[in-house]
Amino acid sequence: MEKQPDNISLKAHKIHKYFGGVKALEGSSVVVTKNKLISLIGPNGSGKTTLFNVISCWLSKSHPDDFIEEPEDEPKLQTRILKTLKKKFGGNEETDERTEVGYVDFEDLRLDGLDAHEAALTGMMRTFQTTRNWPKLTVLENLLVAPQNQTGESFTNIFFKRKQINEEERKNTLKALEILEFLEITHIRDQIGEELSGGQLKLLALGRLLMTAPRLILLDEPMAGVNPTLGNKIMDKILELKVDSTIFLIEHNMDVVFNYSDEIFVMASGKIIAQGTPNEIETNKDVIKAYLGVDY
Amino acid sequence: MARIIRKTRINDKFRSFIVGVALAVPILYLYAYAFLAQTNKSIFLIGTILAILVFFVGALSLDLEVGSVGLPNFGKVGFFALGAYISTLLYSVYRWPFYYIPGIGPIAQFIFSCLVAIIFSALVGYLVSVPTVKLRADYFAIMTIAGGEIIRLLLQYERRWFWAPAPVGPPTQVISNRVKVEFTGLYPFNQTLADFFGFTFFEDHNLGSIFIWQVVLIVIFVLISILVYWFVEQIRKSPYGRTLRAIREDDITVTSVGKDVSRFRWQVTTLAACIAGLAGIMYAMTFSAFEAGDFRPFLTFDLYIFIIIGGLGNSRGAFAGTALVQMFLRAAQVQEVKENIFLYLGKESPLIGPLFDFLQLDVYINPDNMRLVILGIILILFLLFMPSGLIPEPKTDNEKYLQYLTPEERLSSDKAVATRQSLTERERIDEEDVTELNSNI
Ligand SMILES: Nc1ncnc2c1ncn2[C@@H]1O[C@H](COP(=O)(O)OP(=O)(O)OP(=O)(O)O)[C@@H](O)[C@H]1O
Ligand SMILES: [Mg+2]
Repeated sequence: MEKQPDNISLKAHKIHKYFGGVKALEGSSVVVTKNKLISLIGPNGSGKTTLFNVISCWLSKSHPDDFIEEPEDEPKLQTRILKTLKKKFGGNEETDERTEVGYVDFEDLRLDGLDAHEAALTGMMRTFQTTRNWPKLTVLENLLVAPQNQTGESFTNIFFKRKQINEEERKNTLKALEILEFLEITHIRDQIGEELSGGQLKLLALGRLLMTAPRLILLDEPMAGVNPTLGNKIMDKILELKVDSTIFLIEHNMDVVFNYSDEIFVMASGKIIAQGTPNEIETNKDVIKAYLGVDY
Repeated sequence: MARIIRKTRINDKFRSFIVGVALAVPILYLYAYAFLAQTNKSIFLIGTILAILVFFVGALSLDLEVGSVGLPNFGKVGFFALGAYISTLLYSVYRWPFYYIPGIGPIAQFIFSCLVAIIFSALVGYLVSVPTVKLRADYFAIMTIAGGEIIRLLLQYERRWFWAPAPVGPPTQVISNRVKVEFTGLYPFNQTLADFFGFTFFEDHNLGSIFIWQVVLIVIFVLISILVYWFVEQIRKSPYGRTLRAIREDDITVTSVGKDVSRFRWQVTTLAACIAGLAGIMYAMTFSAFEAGDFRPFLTFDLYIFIIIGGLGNSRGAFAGTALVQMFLRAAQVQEVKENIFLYLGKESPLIGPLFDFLQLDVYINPDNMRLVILGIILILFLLFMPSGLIPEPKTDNEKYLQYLTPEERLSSDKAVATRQSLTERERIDEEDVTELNSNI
């Protein structure tokens, strides 16, 4: 593979994903620049989460030829509008060679074929749309489980490298307390996962991910179901992370997306139909709205 | 807030205490009754202790899998069988390769046979785990039940290898373990004491006579149990154990932070297989004669009863559960208990007599024939009302981690907690004011 430009964090090229007869992704491509906040928007069921799943190796991508298409007499109206849109706003160009197989590159690494946990070890971390946590562990422990390749996680080290483990635990504890302070949730330090509110869980998920010092963060609707005040707080925290990491965000809250993003990808029915700065997308909002039939 | 939490904790403890007493008193009564009815009291007691220790090690093995990682292994009995069969066949039947070396032969053979049994159990545990640990919990349970049964059926029907050759006639299915007989002989312990020390406590108190091997076994078993207990506790307390608990609660999140969940799972399954193999060796030594039919899935279910009653994910709970249930089972089998503690339901009973007469039923209910019913009811009650068992898994608290901090760091962190607490309180009040305002508009 050719070397990626240094400022590119993630490049997903022509990703296809079929669930039986459902085309969740049809050759979508995204390029994420380093130290930027990139958003991915689109209506429900358009394939955003699926794209995240493929990028983070939770799902394997499909071969473009795997889908058996039924013959169509005439392209549907939607397909025609889609084509026009794409031409106009620089979405993914359609190629005739259908067999081009996509790939996902994270920095200099090709991720295809890795296991989900291996992908997470590369420095790319993700959150889930439905917040997950370990309900019986304390908030502090929820953070302490996260650091990767801990000495104390090897079976023999438990008995032979105690000193090193203790030092590492101390270091991680300090780091965890720092992250709690950064996220302004120090007060729930001693509570257990199942006692937390939805918003606190979102923050905890963010904190867990920060424990691993990721270079690329994939956030799947970090603000869904959170009250606007807390939502803005979460967004502020996320913005602060831009210094060290790149952020790729799925979000339905358009105010947030247009205010904070450096670049926006618009997805519909598994395809990227437009991409650009918030301003560019905003000016084309009407057309997109006409196509999507919703307020995007 | 803090006060409320502390209060419920005390209530929980109190409840555990009450339930524990309610369970322990009848069982102890039954056991005392059975004990006093024995002619050879010490043997009865020692038999119970040995059984408790054997099954305690087995329960630890199961609890490591079920309690710590949430892998419902229903094939545990297979590893019991492997441990028992391999160690016994090597030592008592095939006697290969060290046994006939003069002097150290038998000892070397014994150690060798135990090591082979444990290593082989671990190997089988690993092989079973590779295809199964990625399955969902219920499929894992089904697979392990099948695995345990396959092991038992192999042992039962493969006569060439697993049956004991008899001096005359066809091989026999019953295997006898000769370890304790050969090492300690059948010397009465009491007599030894009397000969050497003039100690006649047993005779004086009419406690019956015991043999040296029983005392030696108890000492060895206690040491083994303590060692395994310590080992399991070390794992539970370490970061490794913390990750295991996280896997038990949500393995997807564990994977998402970059940990290989299957590695943890196969390691634990393999280790648990080792421990179960060890328990199998102890089983063979304690019960001396056994056959494949002894290793039916019921034995696994027994272990489940022990750890559920005692408390999942907690070694002390495993001991409490094992001890109580074993005492009950042992006492219930005693003839005097069966004959004297019973409930008669039949045509002579008051009130329901005519009904039973009409049904032509004459039922004697005693602890022995009702033991499965009683255990079943206890189990269901526990699952419904006290799923965390008699001694619940200790609540994780952060003290363990905060102790790593220097006093200043500790203080500043605690202060930060307090500040943030009062801050959010104020924020919340402010927010409520705002929403009130908004709703007024
Ligand atoms: N595991 C699955 N099996 C079958 N179909 C699936 C699966 N996951 C997603 N899909 C389908 O793929 C399509 C895209 O789903 P996806 O979850 O990516 O949507 P989304 O853009 O994240 O939507 P939302 O905004 O509601 O989260 C949907 O039609 C969905 O039904
Ligand atoms: Mg989604």
